[in-house]
Amino acid sequence: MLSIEKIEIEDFRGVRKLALNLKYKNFGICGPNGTGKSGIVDAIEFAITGDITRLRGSGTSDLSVRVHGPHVDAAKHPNQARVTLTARIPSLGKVVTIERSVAAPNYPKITPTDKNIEAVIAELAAHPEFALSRREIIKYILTPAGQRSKDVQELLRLDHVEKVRLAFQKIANDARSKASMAKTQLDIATRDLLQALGIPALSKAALLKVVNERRAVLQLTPLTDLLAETDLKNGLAAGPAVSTAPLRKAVATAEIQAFSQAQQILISPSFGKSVVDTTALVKALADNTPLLKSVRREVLIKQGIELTEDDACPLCDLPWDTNELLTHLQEKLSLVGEATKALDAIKKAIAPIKDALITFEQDTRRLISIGARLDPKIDAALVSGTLQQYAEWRQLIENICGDPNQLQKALDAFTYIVRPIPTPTQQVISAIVASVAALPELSQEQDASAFLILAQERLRHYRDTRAASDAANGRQEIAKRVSDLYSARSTAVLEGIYKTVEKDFTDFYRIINSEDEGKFEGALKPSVGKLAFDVDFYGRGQFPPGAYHSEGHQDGMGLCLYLALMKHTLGNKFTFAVLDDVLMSVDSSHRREVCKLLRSQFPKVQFILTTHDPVWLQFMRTENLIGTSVNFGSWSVDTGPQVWDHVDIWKDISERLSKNDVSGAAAALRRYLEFITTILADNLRADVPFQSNGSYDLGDLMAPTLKAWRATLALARESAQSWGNTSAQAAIVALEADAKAKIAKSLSEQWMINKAVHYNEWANLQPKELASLVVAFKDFLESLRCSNADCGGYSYVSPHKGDRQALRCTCGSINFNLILKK
Amino acid sequence: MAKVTKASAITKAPLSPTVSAVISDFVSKLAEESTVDADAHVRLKKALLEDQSADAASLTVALFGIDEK
Repeated sequence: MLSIEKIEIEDFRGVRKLALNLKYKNFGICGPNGTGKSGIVDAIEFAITGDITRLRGSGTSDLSVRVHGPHVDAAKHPNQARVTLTARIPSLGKVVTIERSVAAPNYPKITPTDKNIEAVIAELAAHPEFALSRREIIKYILTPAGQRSKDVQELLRLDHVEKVRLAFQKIANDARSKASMAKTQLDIATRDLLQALGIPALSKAALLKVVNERRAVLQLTPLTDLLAETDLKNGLAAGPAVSTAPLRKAVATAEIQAFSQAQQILISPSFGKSVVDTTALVKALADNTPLLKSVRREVLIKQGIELTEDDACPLCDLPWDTNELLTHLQEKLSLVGEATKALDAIKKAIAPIKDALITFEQDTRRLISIGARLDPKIDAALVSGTLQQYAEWRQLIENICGDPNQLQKALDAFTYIVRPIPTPTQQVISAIVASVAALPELSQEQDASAFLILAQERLRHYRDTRAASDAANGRQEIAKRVSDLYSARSTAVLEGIYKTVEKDFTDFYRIINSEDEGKFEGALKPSVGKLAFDVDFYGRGQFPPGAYHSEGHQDGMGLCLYLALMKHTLGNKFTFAVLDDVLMSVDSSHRREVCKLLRSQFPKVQFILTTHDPVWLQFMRTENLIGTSVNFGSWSVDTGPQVWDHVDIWKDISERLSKNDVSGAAAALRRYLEFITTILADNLRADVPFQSNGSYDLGDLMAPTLKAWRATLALARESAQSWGNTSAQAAIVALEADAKAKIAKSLSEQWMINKAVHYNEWANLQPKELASLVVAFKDFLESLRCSNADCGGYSYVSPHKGDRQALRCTCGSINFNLILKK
Repeated sequence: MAKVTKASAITKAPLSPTVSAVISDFVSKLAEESTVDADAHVRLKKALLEDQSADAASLTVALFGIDEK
């Protein structure tokens, strides 16, 4: 992660030209709605990622970075729209400049050129959660458990963990499927061997018995054992191959029976029902256009994921970001769940049909082989043609899940495979059957020799298929163990992670709610695909956050959970976060604690915080949360945000007065005083008459603020007196006298009785008269601030609610007791 | 169409601490429980931690030492 020194923006979004110096410190951006705060957030995000999240998502289909990224007057010149960020990467100890133009958002100019710097920026670009709005943060709180699981997994970068889990699961599934196919082949080979041996079940003793009987006929040494390399026809003179060896009537008859059984299965009612049921599933898919589209998409996405290996498109060579593309494809894949379910159901239904067809094809081949070995041979070309057709139909059925464009052909295939075999083909089969029945018995020696040749050939095949089956079973077992182990370990580690996040979340939330929820507990409960989140509600039990807690508390929870997740995800690399109006509805009594949380728990993180509330900004400033800040006073399409520098306001007014711009100086003074009295009224708990429109002008705020200041000082004096604290009493008396003199100079108290000095009339004053007022207000405001240069915060009454206990500043240099001795 | 020059390979970002914790734990348990033989363990460790592989094809090769395709 990085830490920003400065950002320069040109013709980007609502900004014409703006430079902000953050100086690697926490930075506050304040301004009313519509003054360009979020434009700065967009600029930071764009500089780092090349994207603007706000231009994506629902309802933004017509928006794009290229068209809508530039300032509206520079829409035709995207190359003018650029953001330059100067930042430091703490982990590398390097300063980097990232310059990105809307014309080429994916090709930032990064200086210096350094692979490690590129890696840091690539990581940020892949996971832009460093910039979050309130809407995005609250999604961790008010969301269904399934969606929260996805959002949190995304933030924790767990998509990779899930991808590996799915890969191991796929390997295990593939291995199981291959083991199943190998088993089918082994079953066929076993059956073939049994047919050749003429025994009902395979055992060493039974095999040796029948083999040695034939060997005895041929006067060959009996076999004493059956080893892996044992040759059943050992000692037999090199004779004819199986294909030309005499046909043994018993074996041929058994093979014909097997063929007949396989043929009967294809026309049996149970097989017909399987076919009908599967046809219905496939037809439902074919007739459901959206689902079919989804299936096609899934197949395409899966192919895409397999082909996304290089850093450029294999067709046009245009470069792409492989990681980004893979993430995108995985996200799309997760959206086609219904399609996956439909395909899985079809795959399951097809399996027994496929096995029956494979057996039938295998037996048909044997039948063709018998025909070729008869004397005279029987031309089985028609049977071969039928076999070829069945093989093609099986291929079509098997490919339903891999090629949804062939659904109609597969549906046709289902109707063909249950039909009886064509009469001409059946006639050839009958001819073979008749010929085998008419075969003369071989001589004993001929039969024994043919037996051993065939048995050895079938045994060799059996051994091969068994070896293949054993290997496939071994892989299946290993793949399953690996997949299970990965699932178990990733679940265990993730549970540990969630426990850590849960504890951090609870600790953070307790910090900002120590007054009323000091015993708060949060609980993250992971389950398959879900992440439930319950929180304690004042000791009454655990409930979802949205059940009873206020919006302000939910905002606080969102922030705490986000911070806990980021802390765990990035550890020491968590050095930067942009919180865009995130704390909008945090209860005002908890603002100081929020500042404390960010400052105390994340001292190495640079926060960029936007708010439309000047009181909030002041809190951040007086609590030393932010080092620098900027106020946007207004915005226009021609100028962009108009920066109103808090520190330089007095200089600005002075410069205006030196140019006899009394009107401008008066307006600036008024706006600033409205801004600062809003904060002071809040700090001093002034009794400001409520305005239903929420709009307060200087006339509404100044008098109650002054009154509150005087009353607070009086209370502090009485308290010091009651406790016999004479030094404090003397200091307060001096402060009261100072306040009285400065307030008098500001003429504020005369507004109500002398209209001529009311702030509405300031524009009509002479420059010298206004200058005198400016000095008076400046002096008065300075007297409310801590004189400690490192603090400089305005005094405030503590606590924010309830009995007034102290008048203090953040650093504690100002600290007067407000409690009277009883 | 103008000839397009391929972009240079993008530097791979390191695995996040969370992912790294999960994968490292798995790899060490894999050895502890002798789930796979030593060669497969070495190949899987490299594929998962160095190459950051997460696709079935690469992991199949790492697991069985052969391309199952």
